[in-house]
Amino acid sequence: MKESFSKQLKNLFLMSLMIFCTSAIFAQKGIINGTVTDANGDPIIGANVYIEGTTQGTVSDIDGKFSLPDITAGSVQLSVSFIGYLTETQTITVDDGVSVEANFMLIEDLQQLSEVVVIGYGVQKKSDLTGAVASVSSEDLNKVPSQDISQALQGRAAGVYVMGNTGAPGANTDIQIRGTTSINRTTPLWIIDGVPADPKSVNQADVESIEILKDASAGAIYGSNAANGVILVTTKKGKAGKNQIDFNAYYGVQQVYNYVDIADGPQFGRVFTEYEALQGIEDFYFPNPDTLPTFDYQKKITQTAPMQSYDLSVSGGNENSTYFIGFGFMKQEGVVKRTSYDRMSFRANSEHKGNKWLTVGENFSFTRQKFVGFHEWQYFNEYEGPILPSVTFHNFVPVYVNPDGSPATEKNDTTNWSGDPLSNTVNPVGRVDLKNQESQTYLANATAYLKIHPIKGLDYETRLSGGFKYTDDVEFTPVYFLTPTILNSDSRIYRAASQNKNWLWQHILSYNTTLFEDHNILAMVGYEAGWGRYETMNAERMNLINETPEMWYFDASTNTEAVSQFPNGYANESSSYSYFGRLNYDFRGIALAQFNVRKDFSSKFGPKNRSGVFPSFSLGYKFSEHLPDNPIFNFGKVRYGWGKVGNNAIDDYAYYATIGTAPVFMYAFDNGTSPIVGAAPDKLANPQIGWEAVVTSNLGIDIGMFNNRLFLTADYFVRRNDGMLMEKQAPWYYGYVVRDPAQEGGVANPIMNIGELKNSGIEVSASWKDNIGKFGYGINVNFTYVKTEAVDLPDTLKEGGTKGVGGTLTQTMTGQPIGEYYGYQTDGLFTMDDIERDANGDPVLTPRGTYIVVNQPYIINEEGETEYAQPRAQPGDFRFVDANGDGMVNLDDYVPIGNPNPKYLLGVTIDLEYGWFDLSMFWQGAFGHKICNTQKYYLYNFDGQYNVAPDYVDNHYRHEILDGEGNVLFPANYNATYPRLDPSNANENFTRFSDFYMENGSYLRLKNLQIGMTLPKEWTTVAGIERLRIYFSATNLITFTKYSGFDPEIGSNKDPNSTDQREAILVRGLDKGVYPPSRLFSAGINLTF
Amino acid sequence: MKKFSVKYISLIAILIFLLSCSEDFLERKPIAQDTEESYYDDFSSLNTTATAAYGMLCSRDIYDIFYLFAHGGVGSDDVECGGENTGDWPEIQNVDRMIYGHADEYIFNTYAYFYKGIRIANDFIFKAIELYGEDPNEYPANIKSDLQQRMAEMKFLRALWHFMLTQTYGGVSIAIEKADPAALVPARNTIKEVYEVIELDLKDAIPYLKEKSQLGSGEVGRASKGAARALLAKVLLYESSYAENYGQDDNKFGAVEQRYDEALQYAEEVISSGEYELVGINGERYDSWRDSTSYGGYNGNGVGGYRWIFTLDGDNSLEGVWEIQNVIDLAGWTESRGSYWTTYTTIRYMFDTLGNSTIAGGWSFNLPTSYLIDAFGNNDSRESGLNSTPVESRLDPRFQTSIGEPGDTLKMYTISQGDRWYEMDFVNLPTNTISRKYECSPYEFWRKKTNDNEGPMNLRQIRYADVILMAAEAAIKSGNTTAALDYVNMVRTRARNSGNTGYPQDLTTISFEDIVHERRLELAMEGHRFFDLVRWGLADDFISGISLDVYPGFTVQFEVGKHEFFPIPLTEIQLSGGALQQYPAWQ
Repeated sequence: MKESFSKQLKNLFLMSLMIFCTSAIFAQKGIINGTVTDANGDPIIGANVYIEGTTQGTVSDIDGKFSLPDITAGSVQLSVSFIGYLTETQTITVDDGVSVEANFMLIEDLQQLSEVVVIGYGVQKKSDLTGAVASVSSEDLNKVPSQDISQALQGRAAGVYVMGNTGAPGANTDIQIRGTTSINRTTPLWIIDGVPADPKSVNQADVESIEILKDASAGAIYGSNAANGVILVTTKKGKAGKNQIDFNAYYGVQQVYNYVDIADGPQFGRVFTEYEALQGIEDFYFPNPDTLPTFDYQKKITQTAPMQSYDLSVSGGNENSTYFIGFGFMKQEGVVKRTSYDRMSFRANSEHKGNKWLTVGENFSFTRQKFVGFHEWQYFNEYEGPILPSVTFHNFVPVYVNPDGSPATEKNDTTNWSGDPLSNTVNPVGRVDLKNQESQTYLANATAYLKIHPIKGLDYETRLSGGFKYTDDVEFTPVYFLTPTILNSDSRIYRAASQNKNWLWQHILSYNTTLFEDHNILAMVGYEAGWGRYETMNAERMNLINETPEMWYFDASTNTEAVSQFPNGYANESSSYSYFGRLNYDFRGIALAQFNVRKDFSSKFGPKNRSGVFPSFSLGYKFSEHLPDNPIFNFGKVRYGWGKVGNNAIDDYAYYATIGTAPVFMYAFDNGTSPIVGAAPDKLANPQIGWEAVVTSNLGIDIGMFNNRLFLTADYFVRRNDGMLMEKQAPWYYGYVVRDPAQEGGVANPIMNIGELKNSGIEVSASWKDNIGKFGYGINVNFTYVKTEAVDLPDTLKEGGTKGVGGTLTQTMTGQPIGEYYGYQTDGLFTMDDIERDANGDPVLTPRGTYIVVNQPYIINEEGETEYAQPRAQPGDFRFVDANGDGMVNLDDYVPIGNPNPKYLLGVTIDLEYGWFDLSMFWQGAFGHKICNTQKYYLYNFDGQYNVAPDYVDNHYRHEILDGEGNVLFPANYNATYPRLDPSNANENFTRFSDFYMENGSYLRLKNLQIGMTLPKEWTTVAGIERLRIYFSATNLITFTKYSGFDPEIGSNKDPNSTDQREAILVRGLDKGVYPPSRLFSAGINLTF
Repeated sequence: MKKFSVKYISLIAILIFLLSCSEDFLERKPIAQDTEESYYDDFSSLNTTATAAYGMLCSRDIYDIFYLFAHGGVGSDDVECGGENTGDWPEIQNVDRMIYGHADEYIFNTYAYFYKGIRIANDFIFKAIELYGEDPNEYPANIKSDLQQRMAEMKFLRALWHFMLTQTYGGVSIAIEKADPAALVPARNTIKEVYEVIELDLKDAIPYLKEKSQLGSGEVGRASKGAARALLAKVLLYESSYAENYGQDDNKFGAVEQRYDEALQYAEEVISSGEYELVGINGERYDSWRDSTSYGGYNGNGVGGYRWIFTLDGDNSLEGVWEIQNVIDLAGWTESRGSYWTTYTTIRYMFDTLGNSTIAGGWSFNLPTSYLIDAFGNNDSRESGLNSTPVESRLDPRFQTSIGEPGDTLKMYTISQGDRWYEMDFVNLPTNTISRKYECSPYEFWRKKTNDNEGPMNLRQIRYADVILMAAEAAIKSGNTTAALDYVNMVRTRARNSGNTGYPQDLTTISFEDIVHERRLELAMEGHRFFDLVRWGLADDFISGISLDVYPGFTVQFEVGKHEFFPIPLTEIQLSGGALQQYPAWQ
């Protein structure tokens, strides 16, 4: 009876607990004490410990210990959860007045389904995601030594295409998420700790995690900036508990591992002699070609270069305050001489709890970078870059000469680089020696935030952030003489300084509640306003007092006349504000839905289109919840998302009709040497201009199998850019647009929202992780297929060109893939079987002694004569295909000859672990695309000006060549791959753009191999060291490719900050001599105190 | 207390949250750049736009290469394209052979540049009217004369560009309204309709323009009374020629009339103004950077007047009626206020002291033909009715200025060999000739100062000799043979006095053919010949059937009814949405 009474009392208590949600004060109590540890027995700090069905709970302390007092006697379900670990529940029987012990050992959640990922303005459990979000951990990032976080993303996530613009130290990185969204701009939006910032402001070692929002349903919360995807970077924070010191360092050397095959001196000499013989020259320039020396210019401009990196961080804190402070330094010498990059960074993150409902914090970072060497655009310019000449310059010529013409061993002034006696080409060593260009960038970003948690479920956060970037460029050009036309008579000093300033203020209010037990709701609304300003100035002065670095300042100039010395400078300002909101709803965590909307107001848009609304939604369903528990199929979720985002690739002030004061508006009345400044309207402005609207649909599935050891994600997406910003060609009659608008006073065609582009594709990523005893292994594969098509363009976009080869290279037209190369198709060589022969079978010759190639298309002209498609072709010339069958070979016969955008991307990571040792391998590849190798123009179109490919030397078509006495100088070679040597270039074998230039660009690369050893903790703790790992790493160890140039990774001259990336987007895979690829061998150490 | 603070803070937060930015926050005006709405407020702002209109005269390659060479010269019988080889600039090689098409926009983009010039002149005119009204007499006193003059200059330039358009393309759309991109391009007007606009503009302008001698320092190069009168004479002469040779073709020419007397009147106004002189007509010698011995001059006594005109020293001489002011300003290839005529037409290679062809010069375009050489000797069999007798061509002192041949030298400077005379190398030049009218010492004038090949020599677009020959032509056509003979002999006298060979002699009687001949020689290689042949209706006679040294066996065919005018660029036709029509032979 007494018992039954107490039972009733208990029931009554539980009822009142449920009804009033207040704690009971009159029952008798027990205590539960315990420890939470991980599998290694290390304490887990901050784990959630709570009794199921109640509000009673606590967190584990520094030693992993917890204590729960005031537990009503009876049987309770005690659960412990911690991010990254599986939640564990034990049934504990509590007796009044007794303390019970309950210890928990948490198992790491291999698939980290319960992991929380960062999404725009918030976080979400990975298992609840409904949009397409990829997550990259810092652990993966740090496996490859790379110069910045954007490069480190290469191959890490499906759908994310990453490539350095060049291999040069400090090169910009081009990131494309899910193909080309727009011909104007494809750079994703980088959000660092909640605010937009430059990825170069983050040191890789300070990164906690990176999330990539790939589809519009995830990205729409960033509205008009999000069309190209959003990359969210979260930096490290201190953890409450013990202070921790991490030190990471590596040192390595880089070596060029692949050079372009070129002829040596004797080989060149022989072809040159053949070239002379074909012209009837008997007195050969090289009487004895076999004695010619060979100077390897590719090696002369390259070097074995060191790379080193050091990171030190200190972090820690207590329940109320945490901090993280990191320092980093890295320096990379370039494998091309006189190029280098170094970076110093500092970061301080801290967070402080003022009281139970108020938290404040800050993120601060400062970065200094220094680039030395060539400007990026110079690597893409055949007249300015150093690499191409190192391949094409005649290598029988010594590097330096004495004034008397004899070879010298070293440089002694600015005129003793050798000129080429056979041509007017530039000595590559001279080009490198003469480069004195240096650029420094300082980046500072600071954010302060305040969080208020006034009542349960409600959170308010405000963030105020400011950024500053200062860039300082210096270039000195000495007086030099390389060739009669490549010379500089005036020393010059060029200096430029620019600064970016911006601020952003955000307010975010969120509310989280559960209705009727099953309906979970998270609502967020926010508001932000921002402002940015860019300012730049530059000037050049000529004729310095002397050439020492002390004189590299304007005041040292002795020239007061030249107009080009006028300084330039301008500024841009833009501002915007936005409202945004999100509603997450789920039913018992099974059916999930998310709605986003953002309204942007921006000064970039024309007055008629000042604001834009960007909505999105996504739905998910965890169908695995209906399956019975089984060891094979553990988790399954389908997702669908739709959203509309914007691409604001518009220059500031694009809609204003401005007055230009370009030099072309000047006039030199009275022949004055300083023309008078003129000004005139220079733009047909379009006030209607607006953002590009990009709509994405995404269908995805996530599957976990075999106790979640296998995890699979697949997505299918379609993305459409309606209203792509394009120039609308205006009639010339209006008097604004001329042949070369950019060079005629900044005049351009009006920009309108008229194009349409579509991407579609499939992404799959799969991972497997398991242990067999002490042996742990994991494999991670991601695969991407993307197709980009121009659905509607007002005009065919023709872009790209290269020296020697006629016309534009790529064409992008309605209904076709973008950036496709167009040229002639070749169909082997004409042979002696194709010529006209008389009745006796003897060749018929023209009056000029040439053959008549008759086996080819022709037309009958008005006079009744036969006109052949290639009238000047001879045996040994390319047969160009008459693609349209009209009997003529002309520009109408251009056909698609290759697309430079990879169809398939692959990334594979393999991790192995055994005892002390770990090994990781990272493979990365791109497939199904072509590269336009323009180096072949120089190396095959033999005209004596450049070096030649050894392949051509041995394997070109040739009739027998006899000398004056009838001796055979060169034997016939009819069974050849390459066209004949023809000094008159009659058939334009190589000066017509054809499929000869296109090569398969597919490659698979062992990007990184790392072998590490972690010393047992028992040993290191003696020395006060928590963890000590040493490793050896090799980057770019193996590359499988058929490509014949330096490297199949051909970047483009794409400034990530520019709104006009059109040429870089439409002309990809154009190899004009890329920065030679290098292999890095390094050794490093990871140390934790 | 705690509850209070929570509420309080929440309230602040919500207030901040609701605080929205005003529209002003988004108003960001361009920095360091004005806008069309606010820029124009006084004479000095207008004046910069007037300068910009002049600036269009220096647009890259347009007035020298595309207008003078590709359109005015290379299509004629006197000029072959040249260049490094037949693949050098195929579009212009095609004009040489009369096989060009309407899609060769690269060479027809003068169309765009001429209209851009017109548009900027219009910007000035419309804004000036907006600010100061239509009536020049009502302009504010402090800027009255300046504004009147500037307005007149802009009307001159607008007329000039309209005229160049008609020379090149025939009847074109008149552009004297404010550009409205929303509207369609208007249809083509007839040549007569365009000429009416030109005539009105020039007649409006003449009273307010200054005479050349009144243009002060810093004003030289502005349109003068003389330039406007000369242009008007030229327009009237063209109209008269068209009327005489083509009749009133409704489609192209419209109601053109023979107005030779008016043409004569305006040409004579220039002559009688006393502003100009045939330089060296009395045998004066001029000092020059050129070696006097090399050009048939007298040793040590400078060069003759005709030679001297085509030297840098001859910029803005008394011979110049309308010159584009070109300078080396080191602004770079596309922005230079220099001219590329010099680079394009100077010989490509010269021999060094060892006799090797290693010295780089210009690009060897614009080659004189053997027909022109024959004409200098009055020997071109296609010319009939001449009153001058056959003679050795090289005796005419104008020959050596117009045509370079093997053995000729050019003075220049190279780093390796210094300042000296270099022999020209005619390798790859099938005509074995080069034009010397605008040559400069490559190193002296450009390499030495700039790598961008900008040439400092003014383009002499209307020379005084041209005006005198226009007067002669107008006179003979209006029946005043005596005046015509006098004018032609003035030109011949100056030519004769420019060398020591004595030719050409004065004519005693004169025919129209003599004037055609004299224009050909006096203005040889200056880009007039093709336009002249067309207006005289002689293009078929002189161009059809000629052969080119570059293309052995090829015969040039001038198609009557087609090749008189170049086609309007294809894209412009396409963008007009059917409003613009190509002439039938080009359709």
